[in-house]
Amino acid sequence: MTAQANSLAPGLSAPPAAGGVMQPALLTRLRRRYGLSVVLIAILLVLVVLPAVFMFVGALMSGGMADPNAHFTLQKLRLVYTTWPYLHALGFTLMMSGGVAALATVVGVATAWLVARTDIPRKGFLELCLIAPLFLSPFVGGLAWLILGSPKSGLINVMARDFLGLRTPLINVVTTTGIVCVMALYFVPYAYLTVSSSLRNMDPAMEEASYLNGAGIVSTALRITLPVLRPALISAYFFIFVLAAGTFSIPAVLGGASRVPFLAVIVFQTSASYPIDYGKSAAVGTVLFWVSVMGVMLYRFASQSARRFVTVTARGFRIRQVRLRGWRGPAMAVIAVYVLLAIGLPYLALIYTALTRYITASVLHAPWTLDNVMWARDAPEVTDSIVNTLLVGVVTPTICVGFAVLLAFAIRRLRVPFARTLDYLAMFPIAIPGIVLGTGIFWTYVTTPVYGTIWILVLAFLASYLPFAYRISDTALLQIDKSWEEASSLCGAAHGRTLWRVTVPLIRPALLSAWVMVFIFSVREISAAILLASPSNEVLSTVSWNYLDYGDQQKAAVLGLIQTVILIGGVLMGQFVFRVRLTQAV
Amino acid sequence: MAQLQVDRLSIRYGQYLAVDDVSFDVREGEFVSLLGPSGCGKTTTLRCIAGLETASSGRIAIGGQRVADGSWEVPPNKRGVNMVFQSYAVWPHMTVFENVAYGLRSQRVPTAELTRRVRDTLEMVGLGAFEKRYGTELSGGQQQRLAVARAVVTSPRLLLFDEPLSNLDAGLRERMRVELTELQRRLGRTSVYVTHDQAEAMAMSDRVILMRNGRIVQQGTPRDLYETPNCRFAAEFVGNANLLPGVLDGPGRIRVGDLRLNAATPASGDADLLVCIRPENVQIAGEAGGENVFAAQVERVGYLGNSLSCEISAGGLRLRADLPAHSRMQQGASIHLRVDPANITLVPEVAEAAI
Ligand SMILES: Nc1ncnc2c1ncn2[C@@H]1O[C@H](COP(=O)(O)OP(=O)(O)O)[C@@H](O)[C@H]1O
Ligand SMILES: [Mg+2]
Repeated sequence: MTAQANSLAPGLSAPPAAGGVMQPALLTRLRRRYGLSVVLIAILLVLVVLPAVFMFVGALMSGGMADPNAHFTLQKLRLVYTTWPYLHALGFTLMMSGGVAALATVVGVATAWLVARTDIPRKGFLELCLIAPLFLSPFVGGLAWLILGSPKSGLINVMARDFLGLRTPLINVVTTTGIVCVMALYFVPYAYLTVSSSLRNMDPAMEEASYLNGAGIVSTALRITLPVLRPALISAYFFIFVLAAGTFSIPAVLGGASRVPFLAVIVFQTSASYPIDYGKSAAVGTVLFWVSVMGVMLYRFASQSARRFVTVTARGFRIRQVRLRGWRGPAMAVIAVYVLLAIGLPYLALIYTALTRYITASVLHAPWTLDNVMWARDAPEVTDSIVNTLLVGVVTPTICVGFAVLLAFAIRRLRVPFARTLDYLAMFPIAIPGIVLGTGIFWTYVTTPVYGTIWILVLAFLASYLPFAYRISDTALLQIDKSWEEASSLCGAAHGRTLWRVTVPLIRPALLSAWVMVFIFSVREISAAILLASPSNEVLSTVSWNYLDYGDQQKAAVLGLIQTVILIGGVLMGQFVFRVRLTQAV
Repeated sequence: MAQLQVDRLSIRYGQYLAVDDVSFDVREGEFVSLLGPSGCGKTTTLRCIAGLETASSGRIAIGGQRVADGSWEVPPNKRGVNMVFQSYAVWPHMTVFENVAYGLRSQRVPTAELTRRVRDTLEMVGLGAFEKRYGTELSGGQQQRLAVARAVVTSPRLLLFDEPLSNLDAGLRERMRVELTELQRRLGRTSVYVTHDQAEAMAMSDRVILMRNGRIVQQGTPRDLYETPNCRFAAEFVGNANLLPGVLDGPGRIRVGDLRLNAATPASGDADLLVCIRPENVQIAGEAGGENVFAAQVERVGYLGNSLSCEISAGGLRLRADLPAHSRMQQGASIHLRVDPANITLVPEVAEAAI
């Protein structure tokens, strides 16, 4: 062990003048330091690197892991990387994700500007409305939009027929444009939060100087505000791009691979429906992985230059608010329409569907029923999935945040060896979309007893959300004064004790908000869960997906609503029990 | 006709009166400072003149043209004023040239003239060599010059400065103050300058308006303010002052503690007043006797290089005196001091409560 540790750090030299008596104590301490690093690195390798490696291995195999005749082959990679259907899907994925990111960023900028820079009333409430979709499930949103906007039986089209007498469908979300728009709805909050925090950090005098130099409101917004925000916009754009490219739920619900060749959907379909080919699924996963890595690199580049661009601000509260006057109505309407599309209509549709027996040609003769609700109350399948969802929802954030704090403390405070490596490993999963991680985890654990249990989901979610929890813990550590901890160490407390008794209580608010956010992410997750689903580890999102797949929108809607209730419960708990400001955690 | 007229301006934030019934004029070409401790409403007043803040009541006219009347107002981009911000607000995404050209482009100045004017202005502030740099690639002092160039290039009817030197370190601040004063003399622009630094206000301004708690306390030339403060606050804020409670004995005769002194300035009717004696106006008298000569004891001596800052007691009072460094005053020495009657200012004590 000692020899190993020493060979890991060739550059390290023992302090000079250390007396012979000191030597053994020093060695013990070194071993302890390296010991921690080695353990942390090992955990991270297993948790986040192994699945990625196994996915590549899987892409090179002719058959599944359990197949004794499987051998290495380049055939699948060649197929996926060089033939038209897959290249087309790649192009399509890039285009759609680019479109989603552009749309979400534009809406995010516009709304953030309205809230931060104008005299629009009820800002706090508006902001809450703009952020709310973040706490809801995109899958459930996609389901709701399928119910609302499919060309024949979509509620909006049905009502247009009922009340306006229209013969042709009013809208159709089961198209590329429709999918892009619905996805954009659920990514607007990310753009909003990035842009509004940049707007808050921007010296308002820059805009005021523009007014005094004779420029009007529009001209100032376009020539000063937007360019100064540009790095923030670019980083928001790529952040959303990566999220969108890895999103399985909405394109799967609204498209299906036949119509919309979206990589994330293909990964699922090649491993879930006939002809099942796990190797091909993994190969497509690797393409998506590279897309993601590229997006994350561009994002990092942009946010670094954004940081260089940050300007000092003298006094935050002083900004000449743009008077909207007659534009107040239209401005409020823009936000109201967004909220209606992202939250209002979808949940009305879900509730309507949950309370009806089947889809009708007219809402005027809706077959109202409580059967679906009764079914949800009595079906053991539903109870099981609720229990599983809650279990995953509680276990994942607890381990995730605990491990993240330990990592951050070891890296930033103990300055363990290989801190940079640890940091990279901990952040690595942001480049792995859930569905890709699911593929990797599948290949890694399919032959182990963990596969098929609820713990496989916990493993997947832990890896997925570790970067998020780690980033929050690290930022929180940066913000507290080191001397508190030093005081504790000087008082003779061991590192573990210092961490537990001093550091953790000091950064408690940040940790609690990280916990609540990871809870929300875990409860609504579907991309990895769907790949790892088996009858014994169903969660609400996968059961809901199954019913939707059978064509039973009513039961899918009920399950989606139950999931939403749990999510709202999580948010309320965060807000009122933990008293954390969730918006700052994101 | 004054270039700027501020008439009974009040600005309220909720219940809080940030600016309370402020009126003043600035003549064409005049350089006026708003001076006062931080939080007294200087910036708010300035921003209201610029149109960045809305008045609760009162009127503002620039060049004889009304720009604000109650809550009716001309927007800032149509007021023909320009401002140098405390944070400089240099646009980071534009070059130095573009920063300065921005205002001229808004005025649709033809390219040839625009280039000439921008170059001239940059030359004038000493940034001629930097026109291709980006705003963020400049040092603090250079950003400050750029902010000034950007504000003067548009030939505003009124130039506003909000503590432009406060973000610079001491040495640079001194130099920029000189440069700014020179520039101002050369351009002769009508300017309103906000600062909390009395030395800055005194050195640069034609006239100083002293503010406190949102109100104007006193206005006048720097000399007026220094020599005839009209209240305790004015005397203490502008320079150092010994303020001693005194009683009027007769015309030009006052009693301060056990001292009887003559003052050249006539006192206003009241018997209770403050006697203001600047430390540097306390002189060493050769011998006892003579007008305003009194015996004193040196209690403490501080060596400042160019002078001795002494605390003395005389007639049951303690006061500060700045004595020449070569006088080699020792602690405990008994001496005779003298104050010229012209250097004794009487400040009405009652004015305090009303301010
Ligand atoms: N937008 C605002 N809302 C509330 N109070 C304000 C606002 N702007 C200024 N104030 C208050 O008005 C007072 C005057 O501020 P300011 O004009 O900045 O003072 P100065 O520039 O003289 O330091 C301060 O007490 C400040 O807190
Ligand atoms: Mg100020």
